[in-house]
This record gives sequence, C-alpha cells and structure tokens, in this order.
Amino acid sequence: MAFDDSVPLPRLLLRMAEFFRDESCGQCVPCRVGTVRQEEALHRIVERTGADAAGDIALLREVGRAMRDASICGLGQTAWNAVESAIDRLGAYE
Amino acid sequence: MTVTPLGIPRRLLEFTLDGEPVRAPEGSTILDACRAAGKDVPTLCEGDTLRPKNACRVCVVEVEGARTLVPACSRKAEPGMEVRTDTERARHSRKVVLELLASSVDLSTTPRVAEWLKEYEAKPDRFGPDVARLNEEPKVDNDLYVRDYGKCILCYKCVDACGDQWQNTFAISVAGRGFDARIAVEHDAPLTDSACVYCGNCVEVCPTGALSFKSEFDMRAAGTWDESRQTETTTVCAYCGVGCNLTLHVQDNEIVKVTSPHDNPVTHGNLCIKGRFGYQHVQNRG
Repeated sequence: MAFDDSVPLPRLLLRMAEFFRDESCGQCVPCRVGTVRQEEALHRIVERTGADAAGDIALLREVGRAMRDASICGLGQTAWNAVESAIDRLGAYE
Repeated sequence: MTVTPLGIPRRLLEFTLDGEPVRAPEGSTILDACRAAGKDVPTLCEGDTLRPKNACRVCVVEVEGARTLVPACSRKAEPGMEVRTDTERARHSRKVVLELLASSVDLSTTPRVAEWLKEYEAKPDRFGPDVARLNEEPKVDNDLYVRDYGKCILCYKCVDACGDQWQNTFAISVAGRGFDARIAVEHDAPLTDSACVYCGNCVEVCPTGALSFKSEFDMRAAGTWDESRQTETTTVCAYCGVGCNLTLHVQDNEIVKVTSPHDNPVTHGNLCIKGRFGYQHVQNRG
C-alpha cells in the first residue's frame, strides 16, 4: 500500500493496532494484553504531538519490546513494527 | 514412604548458565537446570504435574544466538547452550509481562506475585486508570468450588488437568480469542449443566486462586481466611481402596480445603469428588 503525506499517520497506526488486537489469539500474555495496551496508548495520542505524546511513546516502546522478545509467534513479535517505524522513520507524533 | 521412580539413567549434558558451566540430565528444561543451580526464575503457567504450556512468558531467559527470548519452562537444555537468566533484556520482558497481567487481572490471591512486582520494579498503574480489565463476576453456581475469572491469567493449567493430561473429562476449554478469551464449559453453561465431575483437579493446579473451594471463597469474603492459622495434615483417603493421599487444611478445627501432594505416586495431586470435597462427615459432631 502506498500513502501520500496527506494521510494522518496516527489514525493509520490506530487501525493497524486494532487489527493486531483483533487477531491476537490470546494464548500468550505479551500479545494478548500488549496489543490492547498498545491500542489504548495510540488512542490517547491520536491527536497529540511532541512532549504531549512522549510519555505514551516511551510506554509503547517498552510494551513493544516485550511483545517482540517474549511473544510466542510472529503476530505478537511484529505487532509493534509498524508503530515503531512510523515513529522512528516517518516522524509520526512530531 | 514416598517411592520415587528412578527411571532409566540419563546422560548428563553440559551447558553454560549465567557464565557458569552446569550439567543437567538429558531432557531437562532450562528451568530444571536453573532450579538445580538455586536460581529463582518466576513462573506462573508452569506446573509440576503438567506439561509446560509456555503461555505466561514470565520465565523467559536469554539464549545466545536465539532471535527472541525463550521460555525456560519448556525449552530443553542443549549441550553448549549459553543461557543467561538475569540480563536487562530478560528482566525487561518479565517486568512488562507482570505489569500487563497485574493491570488486567486481579492478582491479589496469586502467591509470590507481589514479591515479583517489587523485584522487577513493575508499575501496573502506569497504563492509566481507564485501561481494559477482565472484570468478571465470580461464578458461584455450585456448592463445591467457585470460578472467579476476574483472577484468571489463562495459563491453561485447569484445561490441561481436566483434559488429556489427567482427568480426561474435557469439561472446560478456552472460549473466545485475544483479550476476550475465557475459560468456559460447553455453551458457557453453569457448571451444574456441564460435563464437570467435581474432581477439583483444576482447583489443585490453579496458580492464581481464580478457582477455589467454596469454603475458601466464602471465608475470604467474610475476612476469616487466615493461612497462618491453618495446619496441613496428610492422611489417606478413607473412601475406596486406591489409597490416595489427602492433605487436610484445617483452620479452627474445621477442614477448609483438601489438596493432595503433587509428588504422591498414587495421585500426582489429583483426587476424585469424594476425596476432594466429601469431608463433611468428619466434622459431623451432632
């Protein structure tokens, strides 16, 4: 999928987080609860940038790292990839 | 006397645990080796009488060369493996897993969890006040045991104990998926309309107190449950000739709970409805 810069990234990320929360089978804790916490944090910062979003972004990094390291399967391990790359490479929430 | 079967001799394999060379019998898990070496790795879904499900991910450790962390409870030790149990990476995952659980489930009756939350500096409140929780009302639909799924961490131990690992009754299973997954009987019926045989072997393995004796549930609600005042007496069940060991938990001269020693070669912690719940005649003083 290709998007131009008129697409609001936070809403796109929220949609992806919703997908991962929906698709989690619920077997392991990092993915079952982590995808829910990720979606909640993205909801909180959907209209925020800079310092207002910094706290939740730090939280997302911590949860994302645990999901990547400790989930059983690839779904949980990659559930935070899109959010991470949007923050670090595309400057979402800046 | 408890007879411990020795089994066939097993070859010892060598690997490195936190920089120290260790030897473990072939087939042992990393967790077995950690415990033999006196290392305290937290576990929730691991059970001494059950095959590991590695669902809770609180026992994760770092293995050199592995892309992700590995669950110590189910990963077998291999020769030459380099395992580290206490790295920043492993501790981080344990901390977050504990926070995720404590922020969504009532862990007030889970043994040792308060100690681990402190040890890993976990702060479950940091997800905010309005986060999704399980919020299930306790299911009190029979006189023997209560299912309080607000305390359930979905470790699958009750399902395994009820199913092919011990009881072969298959009364319960996981229903739903993701955050909405719950343990339920068929069609989510009351327990009394299910295949449950009330052996209580699910209660025996529950690590959080989500499943508890009705007597314990009522006493906790009344504020009279006090483990420091309880004695445990192991005896032999008087009902049939199998000779199961029962451990009677007694508070104020009343039996409040019955368990069975997990290392008992007859029961492996399992009982039937009579041994588990049929103790009222002992207390019939009329």
